[in-house]
Amino acid sequence: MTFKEIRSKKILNGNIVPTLDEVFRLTKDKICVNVEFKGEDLNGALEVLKLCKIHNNFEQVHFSSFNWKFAEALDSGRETLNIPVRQPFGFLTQNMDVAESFTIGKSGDGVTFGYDLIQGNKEGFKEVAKEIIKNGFRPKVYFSFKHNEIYEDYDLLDTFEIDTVITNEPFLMKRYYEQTRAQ
Amino acid sequence: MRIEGHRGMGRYEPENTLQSFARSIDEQLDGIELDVWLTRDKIPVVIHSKVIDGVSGYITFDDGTESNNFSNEFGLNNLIRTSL
Repeated sequence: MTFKEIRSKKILNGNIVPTLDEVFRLTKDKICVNVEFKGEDLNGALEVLKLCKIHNNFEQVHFSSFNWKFAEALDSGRETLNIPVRQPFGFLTQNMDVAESFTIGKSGDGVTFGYDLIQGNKEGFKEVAKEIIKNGFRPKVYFSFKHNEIYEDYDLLDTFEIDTVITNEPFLMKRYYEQTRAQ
Repeated sequence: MRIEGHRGMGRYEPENTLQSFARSIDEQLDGIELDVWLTRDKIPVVIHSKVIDGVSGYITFDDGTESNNFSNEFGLNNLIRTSL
């Protein structure tokens, strides 16, 4: 689809599909943005970096993808555009075999797991998380919409040194941390 | 631990919309996660899946199911392949 075609479509509640440029305008200096690259078209890396350059939001934006080729495409894009800042990349994964991410990525990057994977192999994840931290990377977790988050999930994540959680229940999670801090 | 809202405000606003991202700012989340595709004419747009049914406002998948844009998570393999 072209931009014009996709823009003509209405999504839920009358919303339209936003461009990343519009999102960057809205979020500038207000909130961090994790851009997850979808699909196989690696040109996306260069186009997104161009927008970061226009908005000068390098410190605010980081990247992630299940398609790890985007990490290398971003490196190449930075070179093309003479961007000296290397924004962290999150290696999204559906298994615990993460050794390759350490060879592609750099210290400060993340490795991001679905919560269901962790729940199904807590002991295994404990070791993997240690390995990630030892390599200077940051373990991250996302919840899918299929999972109904409860406090016990956050209790479990608290037993690991998780850097970031991508949640569908931001209010519940904030309440949980307010309560645990108060105890 | 940093809290990032999934596609904006997770279950609380239509995913990957300016409405959802604006509320994430108001609610002072640490960050937002969003999904980016490149259109055929190389514009990065923010949407999770590739197919939009403009009539119903729902996203339709090749197994016949529909997402109301709130609560379903589908793998890429389930999506209809288009030129986007």
